[in-house]
Amino acid sequence: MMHIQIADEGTELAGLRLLVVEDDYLVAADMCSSLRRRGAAIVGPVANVRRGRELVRQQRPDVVLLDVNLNGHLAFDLAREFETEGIRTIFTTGYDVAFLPESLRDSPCLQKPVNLNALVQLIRANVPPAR
Amino acid sequence: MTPPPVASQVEGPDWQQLAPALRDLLTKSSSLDIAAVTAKAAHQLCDADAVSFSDDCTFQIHSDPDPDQVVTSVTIGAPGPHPRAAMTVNWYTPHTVSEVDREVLEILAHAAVLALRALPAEPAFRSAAPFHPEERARFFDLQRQVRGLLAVVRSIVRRMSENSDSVQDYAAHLEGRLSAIARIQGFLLRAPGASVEIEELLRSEFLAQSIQDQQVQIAGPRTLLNPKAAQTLGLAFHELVTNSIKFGALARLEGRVRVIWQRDPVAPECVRMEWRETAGESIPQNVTKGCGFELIEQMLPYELGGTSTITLDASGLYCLITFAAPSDAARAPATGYTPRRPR
Repeated sequence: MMHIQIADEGTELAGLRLLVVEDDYLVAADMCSSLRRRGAAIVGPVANVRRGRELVRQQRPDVVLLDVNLNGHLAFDLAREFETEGIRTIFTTGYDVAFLPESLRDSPCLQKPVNLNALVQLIRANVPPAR
Repeated sequence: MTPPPVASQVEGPDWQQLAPALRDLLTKSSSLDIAAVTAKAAHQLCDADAVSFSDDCTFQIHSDPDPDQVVTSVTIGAPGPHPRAAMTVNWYTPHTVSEVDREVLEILAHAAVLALRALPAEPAFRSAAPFHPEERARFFDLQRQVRGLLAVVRSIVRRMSENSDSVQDYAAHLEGRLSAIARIQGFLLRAPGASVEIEELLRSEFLAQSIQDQQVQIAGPRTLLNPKAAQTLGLAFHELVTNSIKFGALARLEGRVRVIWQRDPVAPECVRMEWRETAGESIPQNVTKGCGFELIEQMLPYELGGTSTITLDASGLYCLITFAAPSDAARAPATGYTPRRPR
């Protein structure tokens, strides 16, 4: 087997439960395995708004990583719902930040392709203080 | 980054440097950075001294333009929408361009061209008159599609670097997958809001791998796919053809592949597709389900919401795929694309 070291092992996310909502299988699978290597527990991944909503209610993750466009459906309303329920959302998207509606402009947002280190930092910065 | 452990087993370029270079390349956000990283990789892997890119519409960049010094030069075409993009590699000393050089440079060219296409608008474009709202929406959408595509390519590069048996295997499969993505994008970029037909997607994949017509039977009603479904199924077809050439019916002249699809009479939204291989003789029992099968069995249901199963029996591989394709797309005009409906 060929093993090329990817310097992305660590424990920065140990104990955190992260929900990944992303409609692209390869991107979701890659993101989940990278986050697991940093110690996170992954909820999902799921590819659509309906499953995202269900899992947030059932599993109460610490942070949600939310792709803005899920197979043509924009996920802004879903993000507002999560906010009402007190769950923090980080957008991951190919859109420009200027595309976010005014009310969500301050939400943490990373552009694709997502830089893993930036994502880890952003997750840590958005963990609810109660923990 | 820790230095890669396995490097000595392959003659020629240091293949182990390819994956880190590609990862680096795909995170750059300016054309000059992309040119610089590509030039560095071309230098490390093939001793090249400079690279330049050209694509008649969108970019013209050079890592180190010095035409007076050029002694050896090779131009690599990167498949894509017309006009084709190209990467020119220059050496300032005499250099014999080996097959391996060519393979490495082709992979670099593919990745660099994808990265270049993903860049945000150049400053000149930004300073132009403000967008019409409709134009603005289309532009945002294009940005999303290209960056999304780049994220997919990056994930493929990362996952394959963990799962490949050898560096040659890695290079060959990566090249194949990038080419498949480029072909699918070529269809989608024919016209604004273009859709792709199942049949043309299939035929282009068989054609790209030089499969003879008599080995393949394709039959099904005209069915248009939206960009997302086209990308997903296109990659799946690529994996099926590649697998068949390596292990299945297409590994032998008398082997046959039959692909048929139809709409479910009860649920017309649903397409049922069968891929059946008959090899003439039974295929080896030791074929394991690898990375390509994961794409078919996991990615298809995840992205298209249907089902996908692969069975291997004495007569060969059988794959059954069901997925939803809105039938209004199927009623679209026969121009090869559907006008985009407002969201």
